Amino acid sequence: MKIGKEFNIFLFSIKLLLKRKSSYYIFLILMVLVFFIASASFITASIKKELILTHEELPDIVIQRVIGGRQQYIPMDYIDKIVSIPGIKSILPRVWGYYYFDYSGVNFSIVGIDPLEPFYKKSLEENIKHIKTDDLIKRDDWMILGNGVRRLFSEIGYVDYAYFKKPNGEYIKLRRFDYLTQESAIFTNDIILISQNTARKLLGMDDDYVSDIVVNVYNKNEVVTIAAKIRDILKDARTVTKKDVLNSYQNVFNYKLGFFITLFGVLIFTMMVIVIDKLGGLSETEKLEIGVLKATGWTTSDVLRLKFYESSFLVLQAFIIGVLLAVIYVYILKAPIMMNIFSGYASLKTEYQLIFAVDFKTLFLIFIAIVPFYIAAIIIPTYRIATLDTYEVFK
Amino acid sequence: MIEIRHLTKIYDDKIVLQNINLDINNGDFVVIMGPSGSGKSTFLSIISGLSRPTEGSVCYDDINISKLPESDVGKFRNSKIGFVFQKFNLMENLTVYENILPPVIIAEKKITKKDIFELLKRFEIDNLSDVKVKRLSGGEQQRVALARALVNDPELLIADEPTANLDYRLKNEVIDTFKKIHYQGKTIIVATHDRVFTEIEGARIINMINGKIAEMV
Ligand SMILES: Nc1ncnc2c1ncn2[C@@H]1O[C@H](COP(=O)(O)OP(=O)(O)OP(=O)(O)O)[C@@H](O)[C@H]1O
Ligand SMILES: [Mg+2]
Repeated sequence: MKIGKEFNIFLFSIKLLLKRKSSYYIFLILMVLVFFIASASFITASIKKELILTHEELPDIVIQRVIGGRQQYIPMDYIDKIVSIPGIKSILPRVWGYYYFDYSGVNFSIVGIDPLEPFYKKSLEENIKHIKTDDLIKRDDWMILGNGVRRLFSEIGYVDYAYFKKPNGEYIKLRRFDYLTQESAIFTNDIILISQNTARKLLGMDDDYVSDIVVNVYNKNEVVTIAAKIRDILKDARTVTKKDVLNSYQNVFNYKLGFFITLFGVLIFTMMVIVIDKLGGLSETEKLEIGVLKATGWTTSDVLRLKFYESSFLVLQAFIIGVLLAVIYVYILKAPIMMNIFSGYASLKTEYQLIFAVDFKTLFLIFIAIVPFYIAAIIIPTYRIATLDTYEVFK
Repeated sequence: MIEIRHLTKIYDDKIVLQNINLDINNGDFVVIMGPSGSGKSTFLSIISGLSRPTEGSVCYDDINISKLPESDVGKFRNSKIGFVFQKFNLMENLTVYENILPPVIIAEKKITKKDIFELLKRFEIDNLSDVKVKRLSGGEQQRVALARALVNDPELLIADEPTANLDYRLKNEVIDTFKKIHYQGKTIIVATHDRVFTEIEGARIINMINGKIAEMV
């Protein structure tokens, strides 16, 4: 095989391809299909990665106080009542809630943290480089912003300071201390970390109250028993285990899976239509092309290689561009419209930062469902025509 | 030298060519005349290796192309035979230049862009090289088809009704071209209804009727 000749066959195949109108329709159909499925796969993969990242951080049990179906603040002395339950590793009271920022019409999560508490200290140091937690102890008017909050604030000129309204209508001014890093964005994007004192003020909470209590246990098998004991002691308490939370995510995933299967169905169907159409015979133009090539001395193998280059060029191009568009759509444009279908589980959140995660298995599946089938759908009828008496092709 | 022996072509149970024997010498100008449906096109397709005979053989010197494997027939045709179809069979969406390329791409010998343009110039279509073939007139298309047939400088030119779609003036042009090609020493076989070809000096006139031939002397 001569390289020069092979390259010229390739160039000529592209020429033929580009001058045939139907190429563009097929290209467009394939590309759009790849785009949709790849986008769906990217979003799923990204949320999955998000969950895996945050899975570790989820506490074993969260204790909430619910009266009349409404969540209430919990008195601190609840902690004393449960410390003696055997098997509990740690108990952490949390002060947090949603703060409605009327200027932008969105909810932020404000989380009050105690920099002296080892748990908070450790997680601050993990999430923010070079942070000096000691500086946080000296004062109360600091805030640490999640990325989404930071962006929203800077849009309205809140760079170094921000004003927050207390339930009684008074404002307090907080100084920006730092930012949270990008990773694991869904859970940090809309967050504002402040001191517990400030948080209580903004949430209208008395000093000896907290929002909920987080419990971690030594033995994961005992979670259910310990949760039951807690409910037994604290009559108005509700417990939410890690498993409960993951289950609710699972539901969202099942929903997504259905969406996915539907998309894949559309893909397979379209491919079948194209394949059947092509197997039914190539277009008159394509037949004549093959006849001319044969008549001027091309062997069947030359013609098959030309059609192979032609069809793989088209289908690979459609695949690659479809995937690239999906990358742009999901990770740069943040998947408008499609994200609404997928998000469901966190409508409170201001904005997503989809983490870059590629599901190679699904990409490979799309590749398999499209590329070899399309090439075969071209090569098989080409072979049938190329092996005919050349003279017959023109009749 | 082409030796055609006992050539027979049968479609289903219709005998289209019947036991044809003919010798064609290098430099001959063979004109095959005959009514429509008599088998002229079928005959040309078999002697050029575009289809295979039901029986009999076509030998170029020592090579029997009726028995050659398909890929070798292709190579043989590519270097030795130029074929002009009755309906031109050009790739309509491609330009004139691109239409000349198929025989060139797979040719054993090197044919440069310059060679192609010289050929286009000879047929006065070099200024149309970038024009899509479907925009051309019938006469221009005919010349593109001829250029494609001749680009690899074959020894034999076979043409099926080369003047069928042309007006009087173009017809004479094409005939002049054939004469010139013949004068350069090439062998030519033409199937035609056109009596004008019979007036060409030195032409061998062969009549075909119902798949049989008779040479006029
Ligand atoms: N594939 C085929 N199956 C059956 N019959 C065929 C086939 N191809 C050609 N024929 C028949 O063979 C006969 C000769 O056809 P051919 O095209 O060779 O004639 P021709 O002399 O070139 O006619 P024209 O002058 O109209 O071009 C015709 O009767 C035609 O119907
Ligand atoms: Mg004919």
